[in-house]
This record gives sequence, C-alpha cells and structure tokens, in this order.
Amino acid sequence: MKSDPVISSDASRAEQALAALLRVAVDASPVCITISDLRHDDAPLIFVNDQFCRTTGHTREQVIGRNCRFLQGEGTDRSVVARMREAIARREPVSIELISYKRTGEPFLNRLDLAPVRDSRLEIDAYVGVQRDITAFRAAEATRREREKMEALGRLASGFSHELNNLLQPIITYGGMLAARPEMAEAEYAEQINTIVDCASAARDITAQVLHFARSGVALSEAEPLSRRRGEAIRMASRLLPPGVSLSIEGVEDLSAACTIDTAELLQVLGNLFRNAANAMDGKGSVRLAAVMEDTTLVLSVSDTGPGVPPELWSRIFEPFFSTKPPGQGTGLGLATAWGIVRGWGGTLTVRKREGGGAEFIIRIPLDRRSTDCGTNNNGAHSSDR
Amino acid sequence: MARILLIDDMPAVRKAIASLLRSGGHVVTEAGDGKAGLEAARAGGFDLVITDMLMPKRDGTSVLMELARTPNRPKLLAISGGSGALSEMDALRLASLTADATLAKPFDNATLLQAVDRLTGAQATGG
Repeated sequence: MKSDPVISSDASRAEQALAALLRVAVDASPVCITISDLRHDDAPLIFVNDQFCRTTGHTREQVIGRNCRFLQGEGTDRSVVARMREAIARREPVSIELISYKRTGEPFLNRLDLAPVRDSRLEIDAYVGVQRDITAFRAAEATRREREKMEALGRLASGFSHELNNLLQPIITYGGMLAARPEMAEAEYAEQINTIVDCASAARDITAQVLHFARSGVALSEAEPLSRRRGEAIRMASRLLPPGVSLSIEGVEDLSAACTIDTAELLQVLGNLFRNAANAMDGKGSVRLAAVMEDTTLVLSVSDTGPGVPPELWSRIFEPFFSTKPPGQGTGLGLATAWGIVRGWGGTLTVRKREGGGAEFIIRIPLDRRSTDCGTNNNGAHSSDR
Repeated sequence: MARILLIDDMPAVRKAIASLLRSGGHVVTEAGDGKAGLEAARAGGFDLVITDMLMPKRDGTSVLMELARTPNRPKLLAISGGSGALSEMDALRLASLTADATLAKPFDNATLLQAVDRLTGAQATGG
C-alpha cells in the first residue's frame, strides 16, 4: 500500500473516519447542538448543527459569529438568562428552560443544557449547548396532569356524594313526614319544615350533579355525541363563572350533529376558557359562547368584554406556564391545557381581538376527520349551514 | 297493608324509612345487617323485603341472591346511596338482576310508598 503524505498511518486514518462520522452524526442528531467560543468577546457561535437550523429557522450563515442571544425575546425570563451567564462565567454546566423565538417570531419553550469544553493544551475554551423545543411535550404533560387532577377530584367528589346520599335520606324522609302532618298546615313552623325539605332536595340534586360530573370526569375515554351531552358540559362549565359575569349562548342548539367530542374534554376546554375570561374581566362583564358550522368545520367561539389580549401575546398565551397573573395566582396551565385538548381533537385554538374590544378565542374542529355523520344528515329546521 | 322486612346498616336511615312505612300502614321488621336480615327472612311471613346494597357482614347482593332462590319468595326492593368504591348506579344495576325494583337514595316519601304499593299490590292505609 502506498503511503499517504498526510495520513501516514492506519491509526490516523481511523481517527479521520471517526471525525467525519461525528460530523455527520451531529448533523443527524434530533436535538439542536451549538458550540460557542469563549475566547472571543461576546462568545460567538462557531458551530450549529442542522437541527438547530430546522428548529429556529435560521441558516448557518445568519448565526455563525453571533452570540446565541438572538433567540431571546420579550417573553424570555431575564433571571434565567442571568443564571446561565453566572454559570458560564464560572465555567460550570447549566440546564435551563427558556422561552425562545424562531426566525418567524414564533415562540417556543427551549430546554437548554450547556457544558464547558476546555483544553488548555489545545487552547480550547468553549461551551457546547444542547437545545430542544419542548413546547408540545410540556402542553401534553400539562394536559395529562390536569386530567389526573380531574380524575382524583372525581373520585373524591364521588366518595363525599355517596356519603351525603345516605345522610340525606333520614332528613328527606322525616322532613317529608313532618310536613305532611295535617296540623302542620296551620302551624307557624310549617315554613321552617318546608325549608328543611326543600334544602334537602336541593342538596340531593347537587350530589346527583356532582356524581354525574365525577363519572364523566373519570370515563374520559368515552366519546359521546356532542348533541346529547354538550348542554350539560356547557351548564357545568358555566358554573365556573363568578356571579358578576353573565353568559350568553348562541347557535349551540342548532348543532344537532352527532359529533363525537368527549364531554369531559369539552367541559375542560370551555371551563378553562370561561375561567380565563372571568379572570381577564376581574369577575365583571359578559361572556358569549357561539357555535357555527363553516363547511365541515365546527367553530366555537368564546368572547369576553375584558381588556383583550395584545397581539404580541397571541401565540404566547397558549404556552405552558405563561401567565399574566402575579405569581401564586393561576397555574398558567389553563389555556395550554385547552390548547392541548383541542389539538387532540385535530383542531386549533387561537385568539383574536373581539369586535368592539375584548378577547375572542376560536376553536376550529374539522368534523369530517371525526365522524362522517357530523353535520351531514340533519333533517328539518335545525339543519346546519353547509 | 304489607308485611315488610327492612334491612339497612345505618340506624338513622333505617329508622326513618321504617317510620315512614309504618305511617303508610305497613307492618315493618327491622334488621341492621345482611346476616340478621336473612335470619329474619327465613322465618317467613313477609310480602316484601327492602334491602340496602352496601352493608357489612352480608351485603345486599348476597341477601338478594339467597332470597331469590327461596320458593314463594317475597318481593324484593333494593335501595342504595352508593359508596366511594361503588356508585349507587352500579350497585342497583347489579341488584336489578335479582330484585323486582330498585331505588336510589335519597328518595322521597311518595316514591317509596308508591313502589311498595306497586310491588305488594297493597293499598296504603292510615296516615
């Protein structure tokens, strides 16, 4: 074999092959990999892999030589950035989650793991970064957690309600017997005993509703026709509105389509949107729920008379843990959960400005993907507009 | 007038229902659990057995199964408010395999008295 003037041994040939493999593997990696050079001022990027370009929408030419902070934006938590800077100054590894921005301006939740790369002999002083877009993962996680919470709540509610069912029996029985006594009609305490019976009956109705809710909350996989139980979901969801908020409902009764949307999920989506609206309006104002068919798409709209959502936040408000409320108030998961559920239906959840002020949340559910019956075979007056 | 055996483990509930049935003119024997209820039932002489479903010792299912097998058996009415482990709906669905009728607790007075009349063919007397 003729000796190569540059690669003079099998060992160095193997090394070169490995270096080439590493380069290809790094570009094939499903996570973003970056290297920043700390020997220069402002630690410019000296390498980004293909996935970084795919995730952020930037080309290599646009980013090499620049500090990675171009990914940051208005929603980026400055305290987390500061923590990262301190770790880098000490040349320590650091893991953070940061709201970052793609070239299009679209925000994403970025999981960032950084580690120093140092070699004094080779005069290397750099940082390798691994970044992942975990937005969808976080939304799914939030949905799952919310679901588990609802299930636990359902079990708890069911236990209480059954105990109450038994305890209410003697109150209703004796109350009814006392109220039925002939002398009771005249007695001054007739009103008192009737109040006892009425309240016990009202309590029975509440336990029945709680049990119904608990059952639908537990049987989450059960898909039921929207037409059958949607009214119930809307009624339950409307309970989440404080007394100062009025609710108007339009078009929902006309949707006699047999669309299979999980009632518990519908309840959760509407409940979260209602709660969000009530919070935005400080508990005073009105909320409107409207439903229309546009071709084969069911469009649900929840609008409020609050201050509205600034356009720059239109995509951010669906991010997990995004909250405009002070810390400790609200989990920031409500809209993310709703978004995750609607996405699970194959639909979209967006927000826009309501005509005349306020916010309008739009849920679009393509029905042809769910059931061929949806909205197609209505006869008579309630036929949907196709 | 019907002769009724009432089986329920919650004393307040049992006494209230018994007292309602008596006010409806029926003759009521009370038992505080399934085992005592079955012993009373074996002595015979009842037109109707009303049993709770979720009870200690022998539960309502076991009471209903045993009574359903006896010749000239009394009519069987199952009642339940459910528990954290088993909803009243499930308990009564189970009961309906053997019972002649079921009622979810809490029921109102007219509902129970009408059910008793329907099952026993008796007209309530008295007040």
